[in-house]
Amino acid sequence: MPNGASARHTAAAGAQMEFETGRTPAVQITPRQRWSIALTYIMIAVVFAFGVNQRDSALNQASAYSNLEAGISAQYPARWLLEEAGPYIFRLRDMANRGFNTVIEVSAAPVGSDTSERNILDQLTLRRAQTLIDYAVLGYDVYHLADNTPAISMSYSYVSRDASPFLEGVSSIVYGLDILTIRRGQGLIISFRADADIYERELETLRWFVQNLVF
Amino acid sequence: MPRRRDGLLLLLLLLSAGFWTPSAAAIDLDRVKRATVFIYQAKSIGNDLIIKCVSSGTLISADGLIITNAHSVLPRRQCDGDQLIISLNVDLAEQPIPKYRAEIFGADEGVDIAILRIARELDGRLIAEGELPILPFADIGDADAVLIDDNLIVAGFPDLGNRPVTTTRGTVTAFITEPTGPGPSWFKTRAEIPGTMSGGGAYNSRGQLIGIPTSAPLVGAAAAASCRYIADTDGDGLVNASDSCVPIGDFVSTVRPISHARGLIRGARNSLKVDVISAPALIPPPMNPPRVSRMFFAPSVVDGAPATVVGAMPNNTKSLFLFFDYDNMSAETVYELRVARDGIPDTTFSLPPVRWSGRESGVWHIGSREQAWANGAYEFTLLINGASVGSQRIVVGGAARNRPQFSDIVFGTLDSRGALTGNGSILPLGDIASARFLFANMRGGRPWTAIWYYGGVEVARSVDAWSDDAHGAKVIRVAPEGGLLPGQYRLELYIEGALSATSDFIVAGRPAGPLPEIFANLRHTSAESPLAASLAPAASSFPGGIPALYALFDWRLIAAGTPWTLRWLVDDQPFYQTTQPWLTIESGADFTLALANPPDGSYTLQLLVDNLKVAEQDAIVGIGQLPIDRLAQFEGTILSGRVIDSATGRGLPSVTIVLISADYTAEEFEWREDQIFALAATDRNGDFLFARPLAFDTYYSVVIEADGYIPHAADEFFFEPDQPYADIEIAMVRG
Amino acid sequence: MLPEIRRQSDPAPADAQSILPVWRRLSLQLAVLTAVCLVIVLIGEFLQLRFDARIERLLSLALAALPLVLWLLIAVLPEYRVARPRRRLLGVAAVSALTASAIGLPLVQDFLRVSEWLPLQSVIARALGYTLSAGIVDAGLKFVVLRYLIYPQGLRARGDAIAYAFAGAVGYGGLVCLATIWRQEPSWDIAAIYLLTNLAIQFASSMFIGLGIAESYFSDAYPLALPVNVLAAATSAGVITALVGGFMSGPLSTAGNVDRPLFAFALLAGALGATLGIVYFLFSNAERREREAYRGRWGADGI
Repeated sequence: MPNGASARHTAAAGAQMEFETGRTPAVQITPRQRWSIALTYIMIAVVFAFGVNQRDSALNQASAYSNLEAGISAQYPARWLLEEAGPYIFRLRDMANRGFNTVIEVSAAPVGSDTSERNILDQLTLRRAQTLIDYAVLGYDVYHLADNTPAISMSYSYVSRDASPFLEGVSSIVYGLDILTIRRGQGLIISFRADADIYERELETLRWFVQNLVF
Repeated sequence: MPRRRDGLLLLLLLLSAGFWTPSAAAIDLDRVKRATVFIYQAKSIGNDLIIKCVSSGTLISADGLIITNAHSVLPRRQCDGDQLIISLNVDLAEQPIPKYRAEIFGADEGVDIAILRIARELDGRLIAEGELPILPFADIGDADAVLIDDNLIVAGFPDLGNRPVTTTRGTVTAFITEPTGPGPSWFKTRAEIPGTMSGGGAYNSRGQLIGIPTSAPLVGAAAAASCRYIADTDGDGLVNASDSCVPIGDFVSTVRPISHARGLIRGARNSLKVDVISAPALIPPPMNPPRVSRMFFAPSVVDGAPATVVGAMPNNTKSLFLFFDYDNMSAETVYELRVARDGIPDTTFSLPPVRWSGRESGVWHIGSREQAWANGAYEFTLLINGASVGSQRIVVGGAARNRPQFSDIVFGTLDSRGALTGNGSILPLGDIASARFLFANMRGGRPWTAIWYYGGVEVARSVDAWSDDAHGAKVIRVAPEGGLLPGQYRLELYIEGALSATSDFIVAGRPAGPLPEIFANLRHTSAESPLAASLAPAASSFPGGIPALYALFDWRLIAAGTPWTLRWLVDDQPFYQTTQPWLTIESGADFTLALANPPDGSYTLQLLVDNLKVAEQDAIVGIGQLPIDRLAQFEGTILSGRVIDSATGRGLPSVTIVLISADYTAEEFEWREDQIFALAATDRNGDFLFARPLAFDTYYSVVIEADGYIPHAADEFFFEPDQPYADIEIAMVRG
Repeated sequence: MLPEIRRQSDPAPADAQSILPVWRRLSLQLAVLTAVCLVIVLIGEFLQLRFDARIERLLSLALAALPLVLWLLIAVLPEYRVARPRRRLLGVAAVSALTASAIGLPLVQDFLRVSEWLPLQSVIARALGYTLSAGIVDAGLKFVVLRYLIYPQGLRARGDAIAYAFAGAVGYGGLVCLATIWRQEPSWDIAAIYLLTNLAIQFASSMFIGLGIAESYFSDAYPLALPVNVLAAATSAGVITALVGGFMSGPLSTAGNVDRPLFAFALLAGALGATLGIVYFLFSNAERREREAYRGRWGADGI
């Protein structure tokens, strides 16, 4: 018997019974309909997986950076602003992020034979304390680089305020993390700063960046 | 006939075209106001900041250089604050808002100009290099091109910060000339300028800064009327006369031409700081009261000296100067000249109270040239710190009289042929000093006298009856016992007991031909420290990025107190000039000056005595040319506006607007810094402002990306010269 | 047009009095909502009528609730006047709304974070991205609700699939619209655009799901018919979402830019009309095929 006709009659009968009893009787569906439903679930799952993949590829879309003079190459999130004219080797900023623009900054620090990693971090602290609002060091830790070599990290916080004196600037609480490693007689500092609200999430970007950093 | 008619039509056409052509001289008052700042000089006492002095100022560079009066910012007796708070005009219709702290980069106390640099946030934090946003600033104009009756717009704050920035219009009514140069020392105006606008800006009709309205609030009892009690500084719970007050001064009618600050500005713009390492300790300020003497008039000034001495001037006099000797003056001395004609105050030629811009002692003159003096009996009265110290009268009018006179004295040494040689006012050590002067209308037998002074003490006098012609030039000489000693000399010439001509000269250095050799072995070196500088080899070319450029010289036979000038130029423009009395020993070696972190450029060090250049040395650093300042000019469209959420109509905070440079389109933009012309971020109301002006007639592109919103990318952002401001609203649509 | 629609699509004459017709009521709801939105957009655009922020917020929230109210009045209440009502309409709408709240919105906003990466893409990438993310989530969840609440037990005629799918759209879309207006606090004219956007997206999406369910159940169609229809549902939602932002956002120039609610309205009204036309065409085609097949097998009178 054709499924459509049978279903229609069954449904009509079912509705009549439902009307009378208030309960829905069990209605059988054909194997083809079962397949249809199963395929729909599979399709939804597959398309959703594609969606997740597209999200990941969009969020992790990368641009390449290399600096032969400094011996550094890196991958960084596409559409982040690349800056090289400053007291750093290069700096990356997420300009689309509203609020404090998340920053990854790579800079070099000269190192003498008596210079310890902690000396360099303390110098950073002293310098920042003069220019940043409410700068505070939160702690020190070990950060493992791409090749699993340990590096010292320093986390800190401060308040960032938009600088234009002619506007009513917005203040943001910023968390930062400096990763310092000394190689070939030179200190390399990877500084990461993000709005406190999205810091944990943005740390993923830092980890991805560090994984792809070659120096 | 037809030809004449065509010509007439053409003339009418040209005239009508002129009517429709917009005036190029329209001044952008908004821009002038935005560049004007209000300055508090305050003293930190415990946790309090007590306001000591206030003034207006003007931003003169995008990186926060401010020009203002020195008297209201330098920590001195009257204004003894230690903090400078800079208030900006966030809203031109509102009072200024304190935003930053500044430090003094350089100052010329006498000229009463200081250059400040914004260095800290209001809360005291240092502003990291490059972190100060681009600030609006005024273009510097040519003060030497200002003419009498030119329009003048003065910008500043009319009171103690209670009212917004204001501008007032006037004209240049007179020039006042003093020994300080170049050009006129003051512009006079009748514009009504309140005392708190002192330090602000005076602009020409093109909106260029040409001067600093300057007055000096009086100290002591005379100051009480122009002092405001605004805070309980003694902590007694009352704001009254027992508290310290903020001097605001009277109305300002004098403008210090910006040309007097050219060197200071150039030095500050290029961060050029000169350290005179060999300079001895400062002399304590004089304790004796200031004094003036020997007041007389001269019709003109030649190399700082009176051409002749006059007691009356004829009709149509256009140049007149009052000369006087002064002692015990300091930069804190306030002096004033009141001129009255037939008993009625003459505001044109009077000089209101201003700071003393000369040295501690010497000869001064004040007057004007190229301006008609109406006939009448003039009385010049000098006031020091509000008290009269002397007056002198002169009558202007009547026909020119051929009275006997001496004039135009020059000094030198006689060569073997009996000709006077030298530079006119500086002689080397020797036995004889000669002077040549012109004489006119002399009659045989008329008694005349020549008196020579050394250090203010008479050393020779000759009294004689005139035996030469009626007109001509005459050479006289003096041979003091023991020869000429290093120091300052003066010659006074009298006719029948009346002073007719006078001039000063300096004896210094050893003879080197007709000219003295005062400074020798002038050289440049580069070293790690001043001590090592004298041992380092001299050179004329240095690589870029050296830590310091040193200049060293030896000196010969200069008496203490001899005025000498140190002038340093970069790319042929002076950036440092100071005139001081010589304070160290008479002869020596390795007088050292240091210029820290000199940028690339061609440097010239000049040493002058009595305004005459006696030594010069060049040095090249790096490529021999100053780096180009991309923000040196502030011309273009100021782009501001608001970014809103299209759904709510409310401003969107923290959205970045990227202005791409003219070389790229939005499509070509790859998020590289070198492609960006300027960035702006919205504030909590969604407002944004590109502080860097967009060049006229240039195509820019704009990209705006904000998480959650449909991005904007647009090319052909183009503004024409008649559009100095653009205010736009940008609606962002959620994606 | 409407009598024509009823003649072609509604149940057989024998069922006409027992099962409520669907297309005419559905069209009426869409027409009323579109008209209301047009009036509000025109008032906002040309009269610039603005109220106090609180009143605008209340108006906006009332607008968000308007589809639900209309649906209750036009589609649900009349069900109780017929012999064989669709008793699960309210249940489908409620569960769809709860699903949107509990799963749909968190999944789209917090897990897929569409606002972080999709708006900055090109139009095509946005359409694809919304299809693969928000579109499939919406369509999938609405399908799951329908699958467990009415498939097959609530299906008596093809129109049931459409009616229940629309109930899902009202519930799911109503909550999404409410959440959007609650969070973003748009002005009331933009709230009307939000409402119409939601309506267009959810209507298009649900109609394709309904079509797919009807095909699957009543025609026992080839197994790919249902997933293809659900994919079409996601795609229609993705395309409309991607386009509406671009239509709404005016081009930037030195004079600034303005939003263009009328452009957006035109797009959304067109999308609604097109979806209605396409789905109705496919629906009536399928029904005609089924009638013909039924007549061929059982005779003209169906015996």
